[in-house]
Amino acid sequence: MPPIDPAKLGSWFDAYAGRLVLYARQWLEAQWAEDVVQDVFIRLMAQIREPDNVKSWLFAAVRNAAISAFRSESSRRFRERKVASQSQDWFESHPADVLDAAAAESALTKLPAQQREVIVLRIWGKLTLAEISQIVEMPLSSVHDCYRSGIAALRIILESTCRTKNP
Amino acid sequence: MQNEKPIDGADGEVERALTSLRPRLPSIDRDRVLFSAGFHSAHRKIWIWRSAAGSLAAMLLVSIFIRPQTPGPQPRRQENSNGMLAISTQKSPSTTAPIEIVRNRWLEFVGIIGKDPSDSLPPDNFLAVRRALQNGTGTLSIPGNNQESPRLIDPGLVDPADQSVYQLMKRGGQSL
Repeated sequence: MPPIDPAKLGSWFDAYAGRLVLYARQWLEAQWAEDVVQDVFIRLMAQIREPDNVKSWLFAAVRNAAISAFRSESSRRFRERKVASQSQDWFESHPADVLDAAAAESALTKLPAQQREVIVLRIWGKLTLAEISQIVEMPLSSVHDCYRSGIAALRIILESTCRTKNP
Repeated sequence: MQNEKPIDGADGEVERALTSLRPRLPSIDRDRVLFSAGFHSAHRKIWIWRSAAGSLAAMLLVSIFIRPQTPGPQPRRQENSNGMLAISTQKSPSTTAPIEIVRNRWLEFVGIIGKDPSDSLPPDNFLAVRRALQNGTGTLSIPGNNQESPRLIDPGLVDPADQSVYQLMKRGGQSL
């Protein structure tokens, strides 16, 4: 297999960087998540040959790096400091959006971590359920159930939020 | 696959609404990432070449100091009591340990470097002869036949192959 073409790396960065940062933010704050994604792209270029499924490789690498960073003591201190200083939104906000970006983010944070991870990978990562099951190391049927139950839970949370805002 | 089908009903509407949201663009400098990726990739390759060159240099250095110093056993013709020719082998007289020879070479090498060529000791090995050749034949001091010059190194530990090189050099110098 030939080594990775730098032009390809640029196109992958354009296509996946935003989604990967969103995925890493399941564990990390914005700045830290961006650092993790940056390191993953550097590691991708250092690979001797191109991975068979680059998209899956990128999400799996970001997952491992983000969880590792989350667990490390230094990142914990960094996170605590960053939480106090700044917090960026997960999504771009547009007036034409059907769903309010802040409400969606708030609802997602209320979900269990596993459901949230599967939903992020499926909807914004645009991965198939089979790819997700490989990344999160769960059986395909469990991933499917997790996704369905997660969407149902999101709907309930969003409906309750609307009821609270418009009694 | 059935699992990949979109969800119907109210949950499906939530799914479609979520799909319309776009992740916030990261503030990562794209060019910087690409440059760093290329730099690290090339840097790794440089280290491969550096380590290979270092290993080869180390092997070359070792091969200079550890080389076969004794010729193999030479057949010797003997005539026994029956008048038949018998060929026997004789072991080389030099049974010096290689580590001692290496040590001697190092000591001589260090001694030659630190000394003035004019008052150098008679060359006992190949390095000394080579140094003498580089500096000119005038610096090659040849000891007299009956005069025993002081020696730093035990001559018994010196490689006999080097001794023979020195003898050749000595003969060449005298004929000139």
